[in-house]
Amino acid sequence: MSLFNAIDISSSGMTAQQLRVDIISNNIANADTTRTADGQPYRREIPIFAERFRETMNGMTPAGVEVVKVAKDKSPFREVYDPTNPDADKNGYVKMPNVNVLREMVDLIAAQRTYEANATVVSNVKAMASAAVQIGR
Amino acid sequence: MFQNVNVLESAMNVSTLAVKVIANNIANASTPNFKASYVVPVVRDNPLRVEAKVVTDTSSSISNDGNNVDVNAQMALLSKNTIRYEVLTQLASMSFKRYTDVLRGV
Repeated sequence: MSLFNAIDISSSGMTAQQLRVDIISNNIANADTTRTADGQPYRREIPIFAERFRETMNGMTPAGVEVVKVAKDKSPFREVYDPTNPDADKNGYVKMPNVNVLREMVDLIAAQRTYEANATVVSNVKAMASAAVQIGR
Repeated sequence: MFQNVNVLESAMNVSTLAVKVIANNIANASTPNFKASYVVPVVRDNPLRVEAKVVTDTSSSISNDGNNVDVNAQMALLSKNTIRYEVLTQLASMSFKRYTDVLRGV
C-alpha cells in the first residue's frame, strides 16, 4: 500500500536522527578524552546524511534519508595549559578533543525536534490509513 | 456510475503522493544540499479527475548548508493534507451510502 511508503520514509528519518543523537552523546561523553587507540585525543564525529532513492517502475523515487558515513571533524584540537596533566607536552600544554559541548547541545535539540517531526508524520499517515479503512462503513 | 467516487479517489491519490513528498522533505531536513519538493495538483477533464506533478524548489535556501526544508511549513502542509484526506474519505463514504440507500429502496 502506497501510504506505507510514507511511514518507511519517516522511519528512515527517525533512524538517521537517532544515530545522530548516538554520535552527539558519544562526542559529549568524550569531550575530555585525551587518549584514544591511535594515541591522539578524541576527534569529534559528524554523521553525513544523504537522500536515499528507491528503484520503481517509474524510475528512481525518493525513499527518505540515510547516513552514508560517520566522518571525523578535521578542525585542530583545543590546547589547554595544564602542566600537572600526564598528557601535557614539554611546554605544559595538553591537547584536548575538538568537541564544543555547547554546539553538541544545539545539535542535540535539532536532532530531537527533527525526530519528533518524523514521528508526527507517522501518526498523521496512520490517521489517514484508518480514515481510508472507514470508507463505506 | 461511480464518477464522483472516481474523482474522490484521484484526489485521495494526490493526497497520498503529497504525504510521501512531505515525509521525504522532513526526513531530509538535515541533509546538506537537499531541496524540498512540493505536489502541485492539476485538474483534468474526460474523465474529470485530479492529477499531480512534483516540483522541486531549487531557488530558495534557508540555511547555510544549501538545504531549504522549512520544517514548520512542512508540518502545516502535513496537517492540512491529513484533514483534506479525511474529508475525502468522508465524502467517499457518503457517496457509497447513497448507492446502498438506493439499492435498499429507502
